[in-house]
Amino acid sequence: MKITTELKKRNIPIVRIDKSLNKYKDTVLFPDKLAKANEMLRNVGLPKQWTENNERPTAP
Amino acid sequence: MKLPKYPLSADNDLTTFEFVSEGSKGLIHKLVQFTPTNLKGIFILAFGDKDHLTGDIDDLVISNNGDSEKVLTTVVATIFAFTDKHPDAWIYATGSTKARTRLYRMGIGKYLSEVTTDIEILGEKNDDWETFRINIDYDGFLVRRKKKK
Repeated sequence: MKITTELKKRNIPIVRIDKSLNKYKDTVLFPDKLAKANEMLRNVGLPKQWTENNERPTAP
Repeated sequence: MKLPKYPLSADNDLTTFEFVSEGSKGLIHKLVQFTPTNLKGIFILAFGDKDHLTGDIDDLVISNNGDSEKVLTTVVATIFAFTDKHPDAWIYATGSTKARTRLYRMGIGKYLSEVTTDIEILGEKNDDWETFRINIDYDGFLVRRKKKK
């Protein structure tokens, strides 16, 4: 199967790598939103329906 | 999703994406970023308009470029690209305003059957999580890729 056909089937977009965007690697562009999300996670926590089988997300 | 979306550019790690919205207000550069939270493996998704001259990002501006659906489908596409590289990541998203969160909720609801073949979505409501339901107002959304069986 052609690669593009496979990508379309899997809903994965074709993304061009732009090295100029690497400058944002260590920059938090939306610090207020991050702070609110951290507060939410502290107050609300993780969903039981996703963690009851000891499922946890793993960092890349 | 086979809906119209803008071409995407990204950094090497597929954590910052850029695309250009085209509409009645001209060309508007948009940046989408996935940022790790204090909990390992959980990221926030946020996006805003990039000032092409200064590089400043604004997630409160109302662009009114007439292409909000295409912008949303493009942002959803970044979720697929990011989670293709980081398949176990969970992503939290909310609007910078309640009106925006509602807009995102409506967008998710409209195309729910298309995206839920590959992703699971929970809605944040009353300090708890529930499976996303159409026409229910949520404060935020948590998304993860479905495991392939």
